[in-house]
Amino acid sequence: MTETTAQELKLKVDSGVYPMDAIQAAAYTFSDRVYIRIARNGGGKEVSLSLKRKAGGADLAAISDEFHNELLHETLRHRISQANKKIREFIVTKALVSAQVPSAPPPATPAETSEADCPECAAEAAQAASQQPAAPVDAELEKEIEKLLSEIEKSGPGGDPLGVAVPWEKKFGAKSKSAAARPAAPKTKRAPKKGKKSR
Amino acid sequence: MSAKASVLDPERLDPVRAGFFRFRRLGQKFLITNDFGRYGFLSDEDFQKFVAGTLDPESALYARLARDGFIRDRMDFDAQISGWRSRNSFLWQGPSLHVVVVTLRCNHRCIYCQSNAVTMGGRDTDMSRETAEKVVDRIFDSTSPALTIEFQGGEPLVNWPVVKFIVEYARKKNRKAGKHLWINLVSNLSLMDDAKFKFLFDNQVNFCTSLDGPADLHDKNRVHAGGSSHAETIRWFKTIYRKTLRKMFRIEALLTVTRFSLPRAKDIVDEYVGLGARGVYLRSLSPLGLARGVWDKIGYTAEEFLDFYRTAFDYILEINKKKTFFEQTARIFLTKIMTDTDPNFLDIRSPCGAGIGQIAYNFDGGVYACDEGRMFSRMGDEMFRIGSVSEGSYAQTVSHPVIKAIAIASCLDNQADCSRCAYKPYCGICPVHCYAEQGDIMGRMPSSTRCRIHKGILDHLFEKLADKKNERIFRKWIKQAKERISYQRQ
Repeated sequence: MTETTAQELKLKVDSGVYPMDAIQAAAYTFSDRVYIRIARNGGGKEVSLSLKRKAGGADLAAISDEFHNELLHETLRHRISQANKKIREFIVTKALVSAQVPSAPPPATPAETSEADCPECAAEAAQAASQQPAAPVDAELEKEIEKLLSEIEKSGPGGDPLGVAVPWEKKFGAKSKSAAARPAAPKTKRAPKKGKKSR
Repeated sequence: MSAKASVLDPERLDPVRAGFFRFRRLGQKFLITNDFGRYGFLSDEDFQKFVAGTLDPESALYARLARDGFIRDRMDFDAQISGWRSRNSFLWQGPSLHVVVVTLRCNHRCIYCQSNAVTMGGRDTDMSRETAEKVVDRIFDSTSPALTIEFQGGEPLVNWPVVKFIVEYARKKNRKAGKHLWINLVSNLSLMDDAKFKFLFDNQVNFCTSLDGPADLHDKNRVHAGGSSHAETIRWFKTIYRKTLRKMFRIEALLTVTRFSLPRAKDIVDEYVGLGARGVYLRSLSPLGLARGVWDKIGYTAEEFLDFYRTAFDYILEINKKKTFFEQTARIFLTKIMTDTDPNFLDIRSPCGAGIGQIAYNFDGGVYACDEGRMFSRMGDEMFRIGSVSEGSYAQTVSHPVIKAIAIASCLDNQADCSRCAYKPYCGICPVHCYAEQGDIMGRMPSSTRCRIHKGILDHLFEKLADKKNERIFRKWIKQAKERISYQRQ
């Protein structure tokens, strides 16, 4: 239900249809143009929104139309996010852990896994992909994440698992003594370019 | 948010088939992106099928989406984990850019000066040799195997003895440390002379200067009491350009766009092309320093800047029919869009580089999370100060709560708008800019000028990417950047 006056747009939304996260996200998108108040009506699923015009004058009728589309956008985004939460956590955790757990082999670089020079490998990979079962269930991913996180806790000092606060010489010693033990220059490193700050 | 968005029906989402993606309406199509930086354009019909999990598994589109990690039950975990690591490799490096402000004195009075530089009489803002030594010692504590020391000011050449000392001392220390050491001098070049240039050249120092366009525009923005700033800049730009032509240390110029620049897009590009520059960096003005006080005279809206940017960018594409000439903001974004490499541009990454990618050292030894944060100190706000080279340790500096706060604020996953934005894999926010514009390091993206500019530029790039001819041009721009990277690994 929608009510529009010269200065205010009032909307009622069913939070059973649109998740509350999506309603809030959609409202936030319009925060540059209107002041927004969100309230739940009683104990039910109905949510009221009041959108008040900011200085400069937003077209409230147009915002009303846009808002309903944005509710659909945000609801879809919310569902995509919920459905893939565990997979995303797994990928990021594994990427981070494989960098610091000594026993974990480093992930292969794209060049190392390239199938461009190996048609047989490409065919095998394609066949394997077509036979690949559905992605692991979230419960299994969750166990894997917990296992990886416990490895992080065991492997590094508390509070600074990557050792970013350890000075260079303390960490690696002088060049002549331990050059071989040092990390190679990072693969994607370049001298960081900064713009002149407009002196 | 057009009416066409109504093709969306969240109820039809197949959570088993469709992997994680973000989307944005772009023209007649939906742009989809994912955490691995992959993207695709889908028609309304294909988008609906993709969401509902009803795309034909035998189709080329399905194969492409599967390859790029958009199909959940065809996810290649090892490849995606490797790609994620590569795109975020900067997380494992530590501060690599070290901005050293050797003086606040300057012989220019630029109308937008973001450093609030002082006049030539302000000798109390010169860095001492003792402080400089402590600064270099602290820089070499960094865990990063690659270091860039960047001289800023003021005008660094005003305090030449300390510039010279830092270069020599850093080179000496590096003979023991064995890091990849780069040294940049950011200068208006008006105080350069043959002896200084010879020393800098012999020490393989990169040069970076400001060039705001043709003489009338440049001199209007950059006021020099000693005559034409443009004439001095061009004279030394040409000399340094010629002498470093076949070197991997070189000279580059940076543009600051003011309101006066807006109608001059083509003139500015022509000026850079005429000088033989490899590209131009169409850089918008930040509301810091003097620019903040005169914003109503020299500033502009995001939409005004984007009109300027699109005009200049389309003109640059025309030029690329004859020669390769890049635009730097586009090149940063395109490298992220078209490769698994992050160019590590500290202002456009997540989290930003403040404290974990760069550190700034003021003339008095004060340490700041970043150079923009140091600029706030000149505005009487020490919000971004994280210590001093005269006290504490490297560990205390990089573990400072301010750095943690900035890292949290600039991590796009924590931003209500950014975390859902299709451009999240390529973008970055600057908490200092948010603080300057909105009074809050977390920022509010729906009303952020910088966010609008980034979205506008990325919209334009993706529209251009749809044309294969443009894609070939963009690959040449990226290849140039990669060649530089391979040199730096040596």
